Amino acid sequence: MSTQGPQQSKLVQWWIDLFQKISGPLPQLLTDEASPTEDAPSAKEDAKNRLKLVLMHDRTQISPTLLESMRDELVQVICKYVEVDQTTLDLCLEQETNTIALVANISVVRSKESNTSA
Amino acid sequence: MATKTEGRVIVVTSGKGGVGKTTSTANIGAGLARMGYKVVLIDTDIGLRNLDILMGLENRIVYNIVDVVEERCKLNQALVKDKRMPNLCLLPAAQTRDKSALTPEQMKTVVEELQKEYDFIFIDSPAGIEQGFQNAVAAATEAIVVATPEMSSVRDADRIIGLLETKEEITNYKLVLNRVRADMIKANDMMDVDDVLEILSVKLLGIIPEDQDIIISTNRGEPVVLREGDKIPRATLAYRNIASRIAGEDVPFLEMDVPTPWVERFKSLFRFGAA
Repeated sequence: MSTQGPQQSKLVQWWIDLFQKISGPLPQLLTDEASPTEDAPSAKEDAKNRLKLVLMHDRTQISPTLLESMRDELVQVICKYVEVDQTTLDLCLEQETNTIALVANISVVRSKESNTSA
Repeated sequence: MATKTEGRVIVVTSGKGGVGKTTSTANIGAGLARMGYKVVLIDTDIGLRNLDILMGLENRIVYNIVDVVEERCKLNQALVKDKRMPNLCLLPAAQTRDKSALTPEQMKTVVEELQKEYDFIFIDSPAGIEQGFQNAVAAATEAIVVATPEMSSVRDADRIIGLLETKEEITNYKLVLNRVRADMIKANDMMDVDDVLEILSVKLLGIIPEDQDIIISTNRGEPVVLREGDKIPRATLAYRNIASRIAGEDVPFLEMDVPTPWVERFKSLFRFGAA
């Protein structure tokens, strides 16, 4: 192939491109239902999920930064009484049927009081 | 017409620009005029007027809404009669002024006068939520929110709906979902009508498919809703349906289905053979 002039290799490339264009849909036809987007969420689902999140922030006027500082203060208060797993701590907005809820998910390791009394 | 009731005042708004407010105003208005109602369209996009272009009336403008409120002319002198239908006319925006040239109170005065004469007054709102929007909604009692099934448009529509809810005068608002692409919905690449309705929790007024005939119509200055003949575009039918619904008729929504492309047809054939 290295002996071919640039003109000729261009022609070869053209044929390869053409072949790929024609054969492109073929593997898809043969594999039937197997679509490449099976595990990744579709663009439609992506849009829906992202929109729902951004609208919750818009509607409540709670910015991610505000949520973050609330989370930090909450941790401080809770840590006074119980030992928590700070790595799994999660505070977010969730859409209920008609309202938006502030949901905190905090893994408690043990109560500090019971710790001292034991 | 001795006992004519006051005309309905409907604002067409969206928040985001470029989603089809002006196109929808022109087509829904022309659609109702086509049914025989007396319709006036008001362009409130001062400085960036475009409704005249869509109606093909850009060469007939003498006075505009700012001339009316600043009393340089009578309201009737500023109304531009449509060339196709005598019962349709346009009150153009001023092109060389800005949004501050009009106040909500002045809008109300103009609209009140028009209500005596017309069955429907459509107000085309500018993009945004500032004074232009406030002017547009000031005199309205109903609203049409136009959105496309895209994230930015839906987000802005949500904001607009929030603002409309704070206006006591607005008794009802409905959604027109524009530029819907059945092929992309089928491929799960675009949110469908139900997705948008669920997210916005709003009632649906109509679905407009993406249709190149809308661009062709704009280029010709003739609203797509006025196309006649055996093979009318789907957008024509969609806008006619919206006009009928506004007039109180119960019209089913368009099925957003696409003809199956040949690849799919071949695929199903293959599947049948394999089974």
